[in-house]
This record gives sequence, C-alpha cells and structure tokens, in this order.
Amino acid sequence: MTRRLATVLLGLCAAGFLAAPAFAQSPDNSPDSPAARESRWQDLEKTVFHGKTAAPSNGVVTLDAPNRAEDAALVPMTVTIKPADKVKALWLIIDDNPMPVAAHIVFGPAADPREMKFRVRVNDFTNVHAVAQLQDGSLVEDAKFVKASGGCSAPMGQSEGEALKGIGEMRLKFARPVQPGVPVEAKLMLRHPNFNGMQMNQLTRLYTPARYIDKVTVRDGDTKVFDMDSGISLAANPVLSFGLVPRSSGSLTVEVSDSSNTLWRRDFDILRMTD
Amino acid sequence: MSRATAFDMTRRAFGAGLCLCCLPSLARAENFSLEEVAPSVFIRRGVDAEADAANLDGIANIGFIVGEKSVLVTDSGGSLADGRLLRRMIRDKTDRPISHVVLSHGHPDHFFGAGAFLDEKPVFIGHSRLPEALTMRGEFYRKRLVGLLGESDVGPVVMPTKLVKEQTEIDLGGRRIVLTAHQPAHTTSDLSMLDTSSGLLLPADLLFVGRIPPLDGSLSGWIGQLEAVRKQNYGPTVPGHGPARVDFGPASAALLRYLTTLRDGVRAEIDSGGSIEHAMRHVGQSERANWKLFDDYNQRNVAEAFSELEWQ
Amino acid sequence: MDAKIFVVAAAVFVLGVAHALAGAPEPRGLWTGAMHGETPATLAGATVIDVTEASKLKAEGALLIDVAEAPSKPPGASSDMPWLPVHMSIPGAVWFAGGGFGGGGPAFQRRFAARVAELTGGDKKKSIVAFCHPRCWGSWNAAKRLVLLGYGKVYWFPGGVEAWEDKFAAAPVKRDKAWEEGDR
Repeated sequence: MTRRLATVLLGLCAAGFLAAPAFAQSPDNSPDSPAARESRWQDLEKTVFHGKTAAPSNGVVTLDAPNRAEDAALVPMTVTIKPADKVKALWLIIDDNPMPVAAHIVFGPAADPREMKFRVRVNDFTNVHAVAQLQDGSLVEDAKFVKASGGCSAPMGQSEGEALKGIGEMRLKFARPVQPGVPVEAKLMLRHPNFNGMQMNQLTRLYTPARYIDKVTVRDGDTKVFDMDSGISLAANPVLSFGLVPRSSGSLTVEVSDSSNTLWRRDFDILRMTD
Repeated sequence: MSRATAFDMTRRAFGAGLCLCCLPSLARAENFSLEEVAPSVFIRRGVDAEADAANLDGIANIGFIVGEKSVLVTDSGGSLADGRLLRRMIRDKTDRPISHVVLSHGHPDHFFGAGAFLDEKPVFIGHSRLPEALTMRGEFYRKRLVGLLGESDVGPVVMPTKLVKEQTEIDLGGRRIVLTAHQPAHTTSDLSMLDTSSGLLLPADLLFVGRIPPLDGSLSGWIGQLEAVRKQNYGPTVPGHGPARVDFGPASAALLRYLTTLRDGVRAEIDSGGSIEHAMRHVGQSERANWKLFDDYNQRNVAEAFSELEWQ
Repeated sequence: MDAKIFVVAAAVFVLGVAHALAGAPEPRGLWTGAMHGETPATLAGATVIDVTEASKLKAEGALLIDVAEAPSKPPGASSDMPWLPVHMSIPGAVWFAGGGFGGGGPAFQRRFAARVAELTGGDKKKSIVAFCHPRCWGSWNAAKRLVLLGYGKVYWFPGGVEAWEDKFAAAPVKRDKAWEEGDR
C-alpha cells in the first residue's frame, strides 16, 4: 500500500473515501522499504542520542501501538517498562514525523515508570520507537510499524478561535483513591489545540501558526514525578497516563508551558480527590 | 490549484473535445435512477460504498424538489460529475429554473456536485458554520478526491451564498421549504429540510440508514438533536444515506440505538478508568451486524466519542 | 456574516482554474519578489514541461534538481527537540534546499554553478530539469540561472512534486550534502 493511499484512507474517514490505490510504487525507492526506515532511524539516533545507538530492549521497554491507526490525529500508544527501577528516561519517537520526538520523559523519585500512555499524531506509514535510558546511561529500544497518514497536515474541522477555547484547562484522574506509598495510575488531561504549524487554512492558504505544549512537569510536593519535553507530535488536547508513588504531601503540582511561553499551573489535592 | 493541473485539465478538455470528460458520466447515467418519494420530490439513492472512480462519489442521497416557479436541489452530489448527472435528470423532468442548491453540511459526498450548477446562478444555501468547515477542509478534500476521480470530474469547492443561522423558509412557488440549522451533531454544519406541502423530512446526514454513521461533530449533540426531532413525529423521510424513503420513527430509532450504544459504552469505559485503546477494540461491537462498512468507521467513532466524553 | 464575502470566496475557488492560465510576465533576470505566487507561463531559453515530459526526461537520465525550501522549524521550538521533516521528491532528484533563491549575490551564484558543474561533469548539453512546487518562483529562478550559466537543455517543470505525485510515486530525498556544505 502506498503512502498516498493511506492519506486517502485516513485523512477523511468521515466522508466516505476508503478507496482504491492511486498507483503502484516500486519497492526500491519506496519510503516504506525496510532499508529506508533503517536509514531514517540511524539519522534519528545520530541527532537525538548524539551518535549513541539503542540496543534491542529484551523486554525492558515494550511499545504497544495499533498496526493501523483509525484516526491519524489521535493514535493511542502505551509504553511498558520492567523492571521499572532500571529506567531513568524515556523517549517516544515517531520516526517520519517532522518533529519526531513526541515526548522525552525524565523520571523522578516519585514516579512509577511501569506504564505510560500517550496520544500522538502520526503523519505517515512510519516506525515508532520507544527508547529507554537505563541507570548506567545505556539505551534500549522497541519499535512498531504503524500505518496512518495525514495526522499532522489533516486540517481541523473547526476554526482557530474555536480550537483555542478552554486552552490550559487541566484534569487529573486516578484509577483508585490515592494512598501515600501505594503506586497508582494517573491520567492527566490537558486542553490545548497543539497547533503544529502544518494545518493550512484552505481559503487564506495560510498555516495556522504552530503553538504546542513543549514542557510538562509533575511534582508531588517537592519531589519530582517526571519532566516531559514534547513537540508537535502530541495529539490535540493531549492525555497522558503515568504511574505515581504518592508521597505524604497530598499535593500534586502540574506545570504546563507551550511554545508561545504561556505557563499554566495547577495544584491537585490528591488525597482528597473523589473522581 | 496548481498551474500544472490546470493546464492538464484544459489540455485534456480542448485537445480531446469536451465530450471526453463526459464519457464516464454517460456510462454512469444508466445507474442514475430517480425515485419520486413525494409528489415532485425526486431522490437518487447513493450507493453504500466508499467513493471510487466508478461511482464518482455518488454515495449520498441527493435530489430535487420542483415547485410551481422553481427547483430546489436538496443536495448536490459527491463530485462535479455526480452533480452533472443530477442536473441532467432535473432537465429531463422540468425546464423551471434551479433557484436553490442546498449544501447540507461540509462533507465532500454532499457538496462537490455544486460546481455543476454554477452557471444556473442559484442561491447556494448552507449552515452558518459551513463556510468555516469548507475553509478549513474543502481544498484538502478536493485534492484527495482528485486522487480518486481525476481533476476533471471533481470540480471546485463552492461556498454558500446564503447562510442559515437558525431557520429559514424558501418559497418555490406554492411550495414552502423550511431549512433548520442544527447544533453540532453529525458535523458542525448540519442543515435539515422540511417540505411543508408533502410533510416530507429531509434531514440529510443527521439520519443514516444501514450505513455506519461517521461521527464528525458531537456525539451528545447528535443524540440530542435526534431526540428533539423525534418528538415532532415525522413520517416519510429521505435519509442522507440508505433507502431513498424511510419512515422517520423506526429509522431514527436504529441510529439512536447505535449512537447511544457508543455513548454508553464509552462512558462506561471512562468511568471504570478504561483506556481509549480498550474502548476502541470493544465498544459498539454489538452493533457490528447492523451496519455496512462498520469496521471502517466504528473504531474511529469510538476514539472521537472518547475524546469528547472524557471532558464531560 | 455577510453573504457577499462568500460569493467572492466562491468566485476565487472557481476562478483559480482560469487564473492559472494567464501567468505573470517574465522578469528580465532572476525574480527577487515573493517566492510563492503567480509564475510566468514561459521561460526564455528553457522549455516548460509537464509531468509526462518530466518522466520521459528522468528515464533518459536527465539531472533533476529540486530547489524546494525545507520547511522551517516552528518558532519557539527548543533546540533539543530535533526538526527532521521528511522531504518527498521525484526519486533520484538532487535537492538543493532553498536553491531557487533569486538574490544571494556572487557567492550564491558560485555555489550554485559549482555544484551543477560537478553533477553534470561540466557537460553544458546535459538535460537538466528544475522544479519545486506549483506557484513557486524557486524553480523558475533555478532554471533561469541554468540558462544564464550557458546550459543548453534546461527544462522548467512548474507542476513540481505535486504534479509528479498525481501520476507517480514520490520518494524521500535527503538534502544534497555538497550543496549544504557549499554554504559554509
């Protein structure tokens, strides 16, 4: 299947366009050939890890991603890590996206890094890599091939003003009531359009300027849970699930900043949350 | 439009004689049959398939209403070629001027036929939020459709020239048509029509029959709009997809059942702390046998619904 | 909202077709105005080609030069967030990112001339196709530069990557290293 077909397939599912291939593509110069993908990954390793290479993970880090993304602008992905105490940091990399690093997480003492869930945009047929940095600094990776297209350039159905409504709103939900010392899964929801600068207003032919969440920090009292650097590969209104080993402070502070230097901060009284 | 494609298109048109671009249309014309669903209301049933070169994106139910003075096109078709077929069918039936072309919402299978009616200079009617939708996505849709049908069969994105914010009435001569603009439901720009003389309801894509409805507006909104319309006890109805004429009660009940299954399933997942991935795999599966193209759209509908409902 | 605006908008969409046929007048030298906009229908000294001719020239071994600009990193993006957009082009093309610049003075001219001379082995009769995107002056400029440099078989392909993709497969093409290094 070609990349353009994928665009047709997934760019506009709401409108009845699941249809026949436009043309055949020779495998040699195909962007989807294993050789081309490997070459792309090597370029990425050079840039992101400054030449360090990541070894196959042997089960330390596992990436779960759909084989075919039904909605290219909202592709759920899960990274599992075990044993959790071996890992310092995590990257989620969508190889063929223009800003491939979707998220770079550095875990703190209050983190439970066993599982993280992301929602990302996928602009292509692409490999996706989850790379973990171990305590000794070495890197291990797991990869999945995902078929999707148009997640970055597919135009929003609504205007810029509409998409900006409620920007900065945060929600935090827990799977179970929070108890100090007991690991718990938290879901952080952020209201932000994450404009990636590639969505064109089709009438003015102007691109909606990029404006996206570039940093999220989560602290339990004074203790770091994690810091995350992110880019335009995160979906609009991103939702992150992460593990936490609550301290006794009872207060979880989330700070979010975006590329236009707007900062949002919220303190959650987690021991008394009933949601 | 790129220069190159514009050149190509013109060259093709002039070089081969204009008839070449009509050939696929002629071939398709045999399959283009109209059903008179109410006196002087003619509907072409769209095929329950995805757009392709053979069906010219003629996948939606489109048609026209003939008044004593003029004609209203209820939806224009999925491509310029599809719209041209409709126009030819109109001219087979009547010489009255085409005064209005309705663009029922911002999806390509409904609005790309509008180009076929430009030289009749009708009023193009759309929801007040239709320009926004077409501005954001029209050209994107056009490019994709060109990839399937080729440049000459697709046509331009035509903007509405009259906008409906709440409700408006059109008189075709002894025949009043009431147009209602809806809150976000199937899309953010849904318009429905009522032919007051026959009592026929034309809700466009607010009603899908047999074909899985794609969610591109608001799930809660769609359920709410459907419930409100159901209270009006309409009878004969032309759905946006499915048979040309159905009874609104049972047809809308089936759609409502799918949408509420989606809503309740997604809510249950959210309430129990379930993930969107899990929801995408499981929610709505009990409806699988009831809808054509189910596997192509249900998971995406679940994802859309999940990201809408988790904020409520 | 004013309905008139949308009448105009509709006209713009429709007229896009007719408008593209007219074309801007050819400037005397290189174009130094806005890079995106109406381009001329002609280029003195070069042949204007469509996608069929471009594919024929490719098969005959012509040198394909893509002068599309690389998409720029969104403003505000931090330096440790790498920006590596995949550039899709005609398979086998050499990508001079930003090579269609109309200004740049003698240094840019030398860099352009030197890299083309390397790629053609100094053969001024080598067929060369210049392209980028539709309504992009970059490829017009590049073709003009080639004509001015004395190349005898210069082809300007205004449809560019988009026209190519409508008929054939595009492929990811990396920045031409020698071209990039010529910048230093």
